[in-house]
Amino acid sequence: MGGWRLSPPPWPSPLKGEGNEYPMAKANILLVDDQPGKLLSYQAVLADLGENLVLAHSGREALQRLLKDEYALILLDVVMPEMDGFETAQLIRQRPRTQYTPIIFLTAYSTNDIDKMRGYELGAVDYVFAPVIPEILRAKVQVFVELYRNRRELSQAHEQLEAEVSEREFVQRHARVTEERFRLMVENVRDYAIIMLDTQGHVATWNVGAERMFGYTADEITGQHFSRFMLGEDLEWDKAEKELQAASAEGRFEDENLRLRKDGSRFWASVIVTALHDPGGKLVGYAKIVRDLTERKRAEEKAMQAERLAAIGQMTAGLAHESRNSLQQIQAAVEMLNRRLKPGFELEMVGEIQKATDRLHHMLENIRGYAAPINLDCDVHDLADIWSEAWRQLAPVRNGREVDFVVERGGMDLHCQVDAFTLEQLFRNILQNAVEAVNGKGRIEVCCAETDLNGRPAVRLAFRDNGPGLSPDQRRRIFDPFFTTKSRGTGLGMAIARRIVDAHGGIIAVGNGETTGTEIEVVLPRGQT
Amino acid sequence: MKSSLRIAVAEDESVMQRYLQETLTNLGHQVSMAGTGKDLIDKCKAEKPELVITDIRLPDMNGLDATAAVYQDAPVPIVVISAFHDTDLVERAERDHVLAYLVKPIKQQDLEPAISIAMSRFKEFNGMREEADSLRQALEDRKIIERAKGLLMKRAGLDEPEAFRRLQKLARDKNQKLVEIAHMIVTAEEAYQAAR
Repeated sequence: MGGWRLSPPPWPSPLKGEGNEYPMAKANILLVDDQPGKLLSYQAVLADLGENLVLAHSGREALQRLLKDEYALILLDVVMPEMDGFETAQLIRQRPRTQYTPIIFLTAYSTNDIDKMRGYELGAVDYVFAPVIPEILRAKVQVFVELYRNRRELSQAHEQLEAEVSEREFVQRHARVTEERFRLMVENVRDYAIIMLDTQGHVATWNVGAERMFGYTADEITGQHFSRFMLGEDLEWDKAEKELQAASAEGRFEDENLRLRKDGSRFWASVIVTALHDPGGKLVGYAKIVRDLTERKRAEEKAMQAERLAAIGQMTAGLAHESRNSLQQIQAAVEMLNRRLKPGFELEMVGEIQKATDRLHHMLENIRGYAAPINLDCDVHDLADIWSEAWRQLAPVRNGREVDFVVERGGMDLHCQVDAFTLEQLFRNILQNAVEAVNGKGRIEVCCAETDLNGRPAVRLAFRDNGPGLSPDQRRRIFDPFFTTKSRGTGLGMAIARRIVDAHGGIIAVGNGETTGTEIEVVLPRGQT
Repeated sequence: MKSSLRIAVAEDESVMQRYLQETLTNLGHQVSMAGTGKDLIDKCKAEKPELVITDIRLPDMNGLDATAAVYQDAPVPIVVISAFHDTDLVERAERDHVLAYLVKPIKQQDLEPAISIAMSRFKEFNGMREEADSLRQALEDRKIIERAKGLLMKRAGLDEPEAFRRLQKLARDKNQKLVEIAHMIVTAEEAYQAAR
């Protein structure tokens, strides 16, 4: 980022008119002569000019002076001991700084033409001959000082111009940097496809988001028509054309619809097309911003599904409830018939009605239990106590089966803050499935382990049986309501189990443990927040 | 526990009326059937049943309102049969002295234990109430005796054991309860106080 300035440096103020308002600095004039008297007389002549007169008594001294300061003009005596005027002039000319400083030769005698020529060759701009006529010397010097001043002004103006130019460059560069950043931003936005289309709808630019969303790389797609993101059925009615027309007519076009990825899959997209015009109002292309709504759509569908389920739940709860009165009447009638009938077909049939009624009753109660909201009343309990009670309650189910129940507690503390009532139901449902799954000599084990759930301490329980295990389809659907592998059963046991675990903020899943049978894994947080 | 009970039943639905009539009779009880809440209250007033069984939904009123009125008149064990088992309703039933809460559909095998549980709970409940009553009485008696003792100590210049012995002697001589003698002394004192 370094290398360019945020603001231009303070340049010298520009020249404003002549003299008075902004008096120019005095110009330096170097007077070189080996005779102090002469120097004195030049000084007297030129004093009126008001410039800064610097005296040098030899060529050497003159050169020293010239090293220090900048001079508007040098008045140089030609005849001097040691180093004469020509020699001095030569050295002056050799230095870059004084290369162009005007030199007026002062000479006491009428110089021949050859010497004059030599002087001009050495960069003399003029000669002043002795005896010096004060007005002439003054006039000449004045001309050169003015020249010098003009040159200074010019150079300052030039510098200023340069400064302005560099400022403009700076601004342009800044704009370039901004543009570059903007380009980088657009290119790297990942969640939005930002695409520039030309006036015909061909892709001109393509960002990372677009690549991610549509699956094409910039190289693949640049120059292609944007209609290839549309479904075949949409193209039949010229959707692409209509989008651009709408955008150029209205300035902007919005749509929420299905779009096509490179791999042919469809996704739900929000599309905004904006017409781009140059300052003159001419259409130069379109900006197209696309957002993938798949996630949002999915969430919406999920919410809708949940709402629908809640409504169904409420209805079934009501239905199960109201059914109790009818069931009671059937029950009453069946029982009274039962008392009157002698053994035989009729009694047998009444027995069937009784069984069917019991099943219906059982199922309706289960549905009601599933549909009813779960209200937790949490307290600290030892999980092992809860599943022991559940196991005890399953005695009628176990009746006639030989099933071992093994708890591998591993010395773990199994105290958790849970609702004992619903958790008992959870364990009962899991264990009942396990008991019913095993054939012959059954073995059901619970393995406990410490774990954490979203950073909170938790307990992981694995319920394993030595039954036949689950098929992939069964694994996938085991928690769906009304999914059952048993000929008798409501298919709500595991659905209810999941609701209970969810209510506790835990996780229930089919495990991949080292068992040929089924493993149900439950993770319960130790405390409730 | 008595095996034959006089039971008042409130039920408006005909199959259920017949069923309860028959089932309870089979179990050896005498049934008085009421079709409405008001009917139940009237029958209970007249017949003083030993047990009340009611449906919650009656044509004229809530079965719990009906049994509350019955209970207020004369405490009796109550069994409720309901198609609802909302927490609110069950809690209210418990407050209103309902001793068994059955959720439809019920069978004879549900009814039998429910009745015996209700009866034994009621008995327990009564026993506890009697015990509480006698304790309360004992406490009252004790207060009177203390007051009489205090009066004797003041009036006759006796110390506590002497005052108590005098009370005992009076009770023996007059063949009356200690508390009755104490009552007399306290009343006599009140008479003196009032005269002054």
